[in-house]
Amino acid sequence: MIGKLTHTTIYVTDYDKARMFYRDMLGFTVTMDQDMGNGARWLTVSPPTQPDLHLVLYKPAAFGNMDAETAAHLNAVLEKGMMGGGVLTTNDCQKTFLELKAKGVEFIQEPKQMPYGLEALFKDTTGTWFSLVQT
Amino acid sequence: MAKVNSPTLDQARSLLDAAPEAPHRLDTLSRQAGFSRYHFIRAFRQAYGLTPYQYLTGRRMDKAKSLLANTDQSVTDICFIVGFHSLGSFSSLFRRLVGESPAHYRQMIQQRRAATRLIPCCYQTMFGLRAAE
Repeated sequence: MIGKLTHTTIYVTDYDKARMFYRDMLGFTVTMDQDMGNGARWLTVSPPTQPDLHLVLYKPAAFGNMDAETAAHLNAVLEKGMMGGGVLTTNDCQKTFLELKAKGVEFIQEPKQMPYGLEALFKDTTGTWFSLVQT
Repeated sequence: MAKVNSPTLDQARSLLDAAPEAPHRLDTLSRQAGFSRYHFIRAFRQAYGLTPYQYLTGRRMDKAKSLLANTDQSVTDICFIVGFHSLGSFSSLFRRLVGESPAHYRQMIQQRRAATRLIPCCYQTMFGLRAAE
């Protein structure tokens, strides 16, 4: 039987901007930030209430194993803002929306009633979309 | 100028590769390669992009990096093992070429190794830190 999801990948184009966004704007915890040489970093963040879930902030081609062509394809998708990150929950969508907006988070949809709850959409510094859903 | 390809230059380079720590002398290397000192330096640089001295220093630094990363020998011992006679000149050259002091380089490698032990295999493989088995 499979247990929990502990690590998942969020592609980023700039480690420092991503670190700042997830830590200072979303309030995530930086769980690891290790320089791995040649500009690559093992940078992981966790949502404040989910310390056992690590988002691996991964910069395409920072590590040697990704060829330039693959990285260029990935970066093109990221630059177009066509990557989905996932769904984050909140107990008060309107309040969290206002708090994050005040911090400078870019929203592409204000809180809107959906069949499953109030939902807003925002982008991270790379342009990856996230839902913020009230549960 | 056309690139010089000479078996005697390759031999000289092989000598430097085989024992970078040895007290190589430019006179001897040039004579063995069949060049004057001046032409040896020029031809070597044309063939390999570096002067014999730069090339030798690079190999000594490679060896020093490997010893720093893989042994617990002191920086002073490593300095002498790779062929330097002065800790000061070894350290400043190392810092200039590698970008870190020898002690900091060792610490950095140890931190990366410790971090790598915590990275799940799927990421290590994707990042090229290990081969898939």
